[in-house]
Amino acid sequence: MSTGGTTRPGHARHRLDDVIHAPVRFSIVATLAAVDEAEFALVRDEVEVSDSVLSKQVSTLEQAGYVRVRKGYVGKRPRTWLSLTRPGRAAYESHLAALREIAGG
Amino acid sequence: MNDITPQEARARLAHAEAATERRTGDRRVHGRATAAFGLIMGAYLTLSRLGEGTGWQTPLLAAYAGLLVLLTLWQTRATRSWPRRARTICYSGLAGSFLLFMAGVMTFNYREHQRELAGLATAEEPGLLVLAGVLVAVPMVLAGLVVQRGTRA
Repeated sequence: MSTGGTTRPGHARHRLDDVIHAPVRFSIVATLAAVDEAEFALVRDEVEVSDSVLSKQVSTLEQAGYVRVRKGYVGKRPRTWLSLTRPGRAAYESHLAALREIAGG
Repeated sequence: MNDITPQEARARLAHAEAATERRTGDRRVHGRATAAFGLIMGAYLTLSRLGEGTGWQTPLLAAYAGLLVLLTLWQTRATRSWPRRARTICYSGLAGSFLLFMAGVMTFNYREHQRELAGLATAEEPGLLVLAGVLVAVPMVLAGLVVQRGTRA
């Protein structure tokens, strides 16, 4: 959009990340943004979704390159850990910046 | 297009802020475990030197290893996440304490050797051993305090 020959930046809503914007995925990313790494079960409990819903949403975030999934063990029990990738963290920060702009009116 | 009202945006920002604050429990565990690791390392350096030649060294080493294992198990099982930057801070503290521990061991070995050459008693001054133990603990205790207090993500 241009006015009088100068280009105006688009509305902040255009800078919202489509992958992160979905409510469940936003909650997942917000939880992971506060940590270096978190157990799958912790994220499931924080976001209040079932294992299958979380798996599906995590797959979407993983395909976007925003989330890394690591599998391992604590004692003999298998565990899955989730973390944000560098691009995922950058996308989340950018998403938050757009939200702040919208929130500010 | 992602249509969102200012109210909705504010609600999401509040949600994001709350997600950060909910990790205080894990911070507390990681912070206390890190500080405890440092205190155990420092105590071991002091006590192992004080107990030289008394037959206490093997039980002391077993107790040291056992405490480290128990502490690791507690830290692993009592937490479900590593808060932001906590792992880096803990490992930095561990590196600092480990370097001071090794420096302490080498210094005391050197001093002992020098005293042997001079025909003096080989026992180290207890005050110096306690000071060395405290110095070894300091990096991990500080790292534990920083982790427990938290840093902005």
